Amino acid sequence: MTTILDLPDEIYPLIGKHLSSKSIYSCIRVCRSFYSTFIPYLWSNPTVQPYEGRTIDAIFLRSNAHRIKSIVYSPNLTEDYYAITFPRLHTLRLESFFTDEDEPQYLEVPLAQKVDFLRRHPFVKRLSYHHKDTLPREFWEIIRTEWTALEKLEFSGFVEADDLDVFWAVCERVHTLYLSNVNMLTEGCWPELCELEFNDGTVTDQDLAAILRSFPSRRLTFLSPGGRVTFGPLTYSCLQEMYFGHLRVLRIEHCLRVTSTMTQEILTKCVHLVDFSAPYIYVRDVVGTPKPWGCSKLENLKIFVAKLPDDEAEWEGRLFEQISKLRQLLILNLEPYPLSADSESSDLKTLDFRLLPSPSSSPENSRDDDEGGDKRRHEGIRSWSSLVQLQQFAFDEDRQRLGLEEALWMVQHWQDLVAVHGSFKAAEGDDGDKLKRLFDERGVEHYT
Amino acid sequence: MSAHSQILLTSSEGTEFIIDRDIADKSMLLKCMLEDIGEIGQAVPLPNVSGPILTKVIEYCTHHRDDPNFLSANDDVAAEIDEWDLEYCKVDQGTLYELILAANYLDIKPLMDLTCKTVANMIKAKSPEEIRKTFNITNDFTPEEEDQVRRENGKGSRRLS
Repeated sequence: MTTILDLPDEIYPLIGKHLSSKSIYSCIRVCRSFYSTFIPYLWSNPTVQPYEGRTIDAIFLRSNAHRIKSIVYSPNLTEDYYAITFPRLHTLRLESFFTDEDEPQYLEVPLAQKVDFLRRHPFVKRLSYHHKDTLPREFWEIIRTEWTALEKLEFSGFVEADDLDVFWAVCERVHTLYLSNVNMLTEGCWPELCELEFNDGTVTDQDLAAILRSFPSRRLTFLSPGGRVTFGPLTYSCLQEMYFGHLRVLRIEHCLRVTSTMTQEILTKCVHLVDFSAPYIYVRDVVGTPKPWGCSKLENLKIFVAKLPDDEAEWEGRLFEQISKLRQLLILNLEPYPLSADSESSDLKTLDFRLLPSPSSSPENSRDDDEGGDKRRHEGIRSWSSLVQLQQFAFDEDRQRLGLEEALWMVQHWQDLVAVHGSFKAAEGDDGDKLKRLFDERGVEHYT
Repeated sequence: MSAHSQILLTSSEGTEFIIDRDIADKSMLLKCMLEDIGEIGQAVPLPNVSGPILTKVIEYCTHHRDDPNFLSANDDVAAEIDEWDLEYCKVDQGTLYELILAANYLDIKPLMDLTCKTVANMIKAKSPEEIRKTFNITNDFTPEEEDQVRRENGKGSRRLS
């Protein structure tokens, strides 16, 4: 009989494309044949992360170089790594690529070799650079003259005043710009831009609205403004008028002037959103709007859902239902963000995710809680069994107090789950061990 | 060439199948062959496809005969498999792989996508041991190798993007 091992090599890409990296990781551990078949899929997006776990050995990296499309190079890598060429690389993330006087131990790779590394990868489309040092002019010259495929620049560092001309020349060409530590944002002009992220806190609401209104492309799809007070009513009305129909990513969780009603309006009207974060939303604003959220493509949602003391009991259930319809969700983060100083954020309650106690359990086993769990008219996280693609979940540990039972439910129902963030009630003692074992067995990382 | 003309195929055992030209055209292999050489009136031999599998393939092409999205429908990786297709794939593993091989040989992309997706669904959310059981595979790693695979490819070396 024909078995799966008899299938020819050209079939496997068609199987592999339907599998998550977690499933691929299981596949490569099945047998030698599966290993060699599936390993390319595992490596198609790896990162070299010396700070998190082990560094991949340079020899191993070199033998997989042709499979690698996206890579992170961290500062403590040695010359061996800079000698590797990745023929299919499209995304390169560099951390502290050049000299950094604060960390002299990372100076071992000569500058010339790093420059040569850049020259060997002129086909890169996305470049990220993160560190607080100043790049030599040569770096920007290579990017400007040789990296003609560059579409996206993510830059966090400093540019010498004398080099600003080259830097802006690079920025002008890209579709996507993420700037950190670079001020004078208002001085730039970027005809190709449709994605913008920056952390320059000196940009005012008025500046940002003016910048966004000046985009000749009129197709802003990504906005992540820096500064706690940058995003305000002017920027919001600009988005509403021009970009609600285009926005795919909007990250405003640190912006103090974002209100719950703005957030509700965004979730209702921005139908193309895939990634959205905001500081908070009131349950009452969601149930107070007759229209459901229109953002059915949402993959990443980060928000704090706030309940007020006089909210009606059934409202909470409707909010659970609303979230349960976001079936494309990969990441659901419901941890709170600091609200503005004048609101009494510490008193705010959030959704109660706990599972209802099963009918068989006696009243004395009912869980300690301050609002009588049995009065609830919803089933906690059980309402979210429809979120079958979920990979990461974060909850508010102070207000939630989830236990072993909820952890078990999560790993059973969210089969692609790779990480849970938040402390469980059962963190210590026997239950703590069970919890750890449960997550280990299922290959789920648990962060507290 | 009329749309209603018929084509004669012979399976690996020599069994003859008469199918309509538009059904045959679902296979890029047959389509190109028939366009190149014209309808010669002789049987097209398919030495790599057995009779029962060819029957099954014809069943698929006949069901999707008038499907306007035949060549684009399955491009969406996240799309659900429709009910008829789901039922169609409820066959033993041997047949499923034979179908993949036949679809590959005859170059019928939607059938390839469907059958491969079915295999992927059998792999999803399983541990290595569960995968071995499902596909009847023997673990031929030594414990050292197993350890090495884990070390070189495990969580420590990769991170979610």
